[in-house]
Amino acid sequence: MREFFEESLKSPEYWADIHKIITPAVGSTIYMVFFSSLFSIVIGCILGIILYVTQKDNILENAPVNNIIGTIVNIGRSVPFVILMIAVFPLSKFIVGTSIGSTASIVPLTVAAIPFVARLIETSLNELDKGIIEASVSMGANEAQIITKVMLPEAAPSIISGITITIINIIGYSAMAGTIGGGGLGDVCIRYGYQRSRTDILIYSVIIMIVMVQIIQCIGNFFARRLDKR
Amino acid sequence: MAAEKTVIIKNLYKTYGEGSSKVEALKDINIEIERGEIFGIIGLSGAGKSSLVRCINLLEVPERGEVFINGKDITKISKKELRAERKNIGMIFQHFNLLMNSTVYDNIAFPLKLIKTPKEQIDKRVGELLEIVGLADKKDVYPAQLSGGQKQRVGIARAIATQPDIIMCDEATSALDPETTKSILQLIKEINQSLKVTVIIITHEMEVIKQVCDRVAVLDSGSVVETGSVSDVYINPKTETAKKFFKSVDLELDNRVYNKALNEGGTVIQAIFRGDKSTDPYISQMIKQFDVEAAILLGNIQSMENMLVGTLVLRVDGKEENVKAAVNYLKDNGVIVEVVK
Repeated sequence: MREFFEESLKSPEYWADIHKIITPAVGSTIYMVFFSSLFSIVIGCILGIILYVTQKDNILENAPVNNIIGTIVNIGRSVPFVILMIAVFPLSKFIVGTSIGSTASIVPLTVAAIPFVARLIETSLNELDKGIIEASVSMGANEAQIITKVMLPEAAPSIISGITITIINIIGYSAMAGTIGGGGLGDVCIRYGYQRSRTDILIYSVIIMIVMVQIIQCIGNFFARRLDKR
Repeated sequence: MAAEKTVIIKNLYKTYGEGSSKVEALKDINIEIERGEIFGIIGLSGAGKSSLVRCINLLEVPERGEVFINGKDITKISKKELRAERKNIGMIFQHFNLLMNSTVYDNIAFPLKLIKTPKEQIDKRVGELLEIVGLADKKDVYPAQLSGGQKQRVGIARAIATQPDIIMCDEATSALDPETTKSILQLIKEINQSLKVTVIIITHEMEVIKQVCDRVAVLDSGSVVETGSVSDVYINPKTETAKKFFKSVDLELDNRVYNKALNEGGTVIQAIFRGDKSTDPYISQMIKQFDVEAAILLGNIQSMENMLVGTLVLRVDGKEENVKAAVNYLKDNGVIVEVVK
């Protein structure tokens, strides 16, 4: 193992080879993570806000809506991702025309992350001081104004932290999606690292994933801290 | 409908919960609040004060009854009209309820932005408001960097930003120390006088009522048990609840002296002098005319509704008929006398 590393590290062909395998995989991982994060955050935020404002004694209290969305979210969160990936094959095929490849992987990743985001957003909003919402009602704000001008800005630091966790989770899930032909670093790990015993490629892939997670976490912390004026 | 009154509450009931856990929070409340006055509502915690004040801007919906604001029954208007009406009722809270992630400027500008005021006008108005509440140098600061009193000043500026007819203070000074309480009450009074705004103050503190209110309603277990001018209720409380609030302040001032006096001989009286009488020499006249001796056990003078009210607890010694005559002399001169012992 050690000899192998020492030997190969010297050769330029080795690096060219690594570059050819890993770089496109990094690209497709970023592609998958970016789009599935984007879609799941948008849809998850909307659901999370609905879950919050339809709670008892909140501004748009509505028990049926809250129960229905709550149940769907819980079901979505109970299904293991490996199962979900395969279960949404038909959906992927319907939306992107195929069920393999990076683009197709965006569908299961998004579907898996939506309920997660919804609960995170709801939890962030639950931490809000009810007094500030009462104050805005007393000033004659309507529901849309309360959501956009009070709830979201006040909960922003906590929401940013939640989004950071979501993106990091999606990076992990994207590796899993790679195992069933989703492309990206997970795919490379399985095909080279596992099936061909290329430990070096496995290690490089993991290092790149660690760096990605670190960067996302740092950016998330930076914005969360900057927005928090408490 | 009597539009001179800013607020009229008629036969208001509010209950919480259902079935066996049903609690009657407010029972048959009737209150009329005059334009431009400072109206206090005092009661112990759980008496229903907060529910009552929230029924005035319908943050809580009463079970039945009517609430007239400037002659309009707001329990019968649409949601949209209600939102417009709420902009006419500023509210100040015990815990300030400011936007913690917004600057002082943005907090005060908030109600103005809600009604889509142009940017230049907001700038101008917020500048004026910061001057009024004395925070001109704190414009770009976040609430977390302010003291409790300063936060409440921001709350006040926000409440009057849209030039409402009414401001409601829900235990606005209960989270503040006595010194800060005084300055906040002073500010509320100044605003009341300069802007001719009607103020409703909810509190459990007698001092707040005495310092700024014109009239007061005493709330006990969800019912208004007494309403009147502050000095009337103070001098002559008719109900036990009112007595508890208004008497305790003086008689328990120093229990030691008071209890000692009660154990000794002589007649102990409490005399309350109101207005001009607080400075007239009735006691020395009484001593001279009726050949009695008077020892002062307790005494204080307070200002209420811009009127002085003096309270003296005296032990009067002398012949029984003389003491009686002396007491009657005080009564005849308009001094309110209660024989304690």
